[in-house]
Amino acid sequence: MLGAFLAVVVATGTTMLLVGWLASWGRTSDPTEAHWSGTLPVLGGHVPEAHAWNRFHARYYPMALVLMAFEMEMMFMYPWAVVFVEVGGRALVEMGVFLALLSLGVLYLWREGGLSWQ
Amino acid sequence: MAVMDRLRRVAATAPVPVSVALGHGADAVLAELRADARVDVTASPRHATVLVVAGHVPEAAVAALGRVHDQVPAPRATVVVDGDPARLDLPAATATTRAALVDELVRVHAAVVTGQRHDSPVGPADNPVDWQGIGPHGQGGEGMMGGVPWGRPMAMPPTAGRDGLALDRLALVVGPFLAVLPPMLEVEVGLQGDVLEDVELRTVPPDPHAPTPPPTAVDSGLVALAELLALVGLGALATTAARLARTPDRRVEDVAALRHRLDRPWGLRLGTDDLGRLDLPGVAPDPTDRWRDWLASAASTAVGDTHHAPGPVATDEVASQLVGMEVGHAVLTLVTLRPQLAASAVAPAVSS
Repeated sequence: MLGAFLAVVVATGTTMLLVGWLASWGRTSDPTEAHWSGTLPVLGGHVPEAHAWNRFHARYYPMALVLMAFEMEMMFMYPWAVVFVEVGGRALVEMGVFLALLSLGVLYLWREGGLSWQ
Repeated sequence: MAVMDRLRRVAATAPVPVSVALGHGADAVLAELRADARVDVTASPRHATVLVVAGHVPEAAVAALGRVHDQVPAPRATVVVDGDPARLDLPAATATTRAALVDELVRVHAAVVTGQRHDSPVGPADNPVDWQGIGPHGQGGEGMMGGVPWGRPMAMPPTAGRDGLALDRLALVVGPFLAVLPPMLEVEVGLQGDVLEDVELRTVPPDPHAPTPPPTAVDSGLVALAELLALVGLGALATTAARLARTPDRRVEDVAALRHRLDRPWGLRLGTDDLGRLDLPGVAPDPTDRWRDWLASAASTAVGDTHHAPGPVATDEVASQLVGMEVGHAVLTLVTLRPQLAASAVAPAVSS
């Protein structure tokens, strides 16, 4: 029991010493410096005029919508098919509601041009 | 320490990662660097160890050069080709000539890697503007928007929706030392997602009493081709093009061989066909035709014909045709207009 405890203490102590040594070694041998002028984004000599924290166009969103609309519904329809045999009409209505909600996503995708071949 | 010393000596034998800040009339230096296997021309100063300043840098671009200098990660060094480091506010830089450049780069790189040299930054150590935001997470005002944290406004509210999405307009000014752009070109751009909403092109003209660059035998079209090839990731072909560009008595067979490798459906045409089309007088509409023109011109000079340097283009007309393009296509367009835009920087064209 005492031996196991000692092993944990030794392992913890060794790790802390090693991490401390690595951190101090990195600090003394690291030639880089935190200098504001070197941290600016590379624009070829200009300083940015505005923060880049803004809403960019996520080009993959139509692909994500297609996946959600068609792949996810199939994922739920396989187990539903098993349940439908036992439950019957009520399960049919529930799946109808689910598909109606998903079809709103498909309609949105259609409006955005995600279903047109480019 | 012996191990570290040995590792440093091995590192010093690697190709020198060089970022090139190009002034006016520096095509010969660029071709020299791209053609030499001892040098690796990087796409941005962040990847470099040594900054090379070549050509005539006008007074108006000296401050921008200082910022590029500081963006080379420490430890760094700077080499100025055929110029005065003191005039460029880079007192620690090494001055050299074009003939001795690559040898000097290898020597300077070895000194940097072995810890014997590090040029200090020239810009401010701290942000000269105080934090002016009121939010705890970097935002300036209410919600994510508003305010001027660190002296810069947050993104502007959307001006118009694109694809039914509300996107913010990102305003940037890039250049005059951005590696992919023609030298001394500044692009002021408003981006809606990745589409250019408004564009303004400006060139930084040479100083009034700037020395006239010495005439060189370097083919500016082939230098532009090397830059285009480097941009699309074909580094080995870029080296071939640069070697041809700097060879005064290049053989027409070598130019034809390069054209044969590039001008096929799965060659360079894959990245340039029908992208960034322009309707400008004196300029081929398709980027593919533009680089074909460079090769045709190089082939004709190889058989002894006189080289006709391309004339300048009206930058405002180019800018108006860039509006609505995606960023990648716009960059490709500017890179394939390199000889014309370089001519415009020296002697601006009058728009028709």
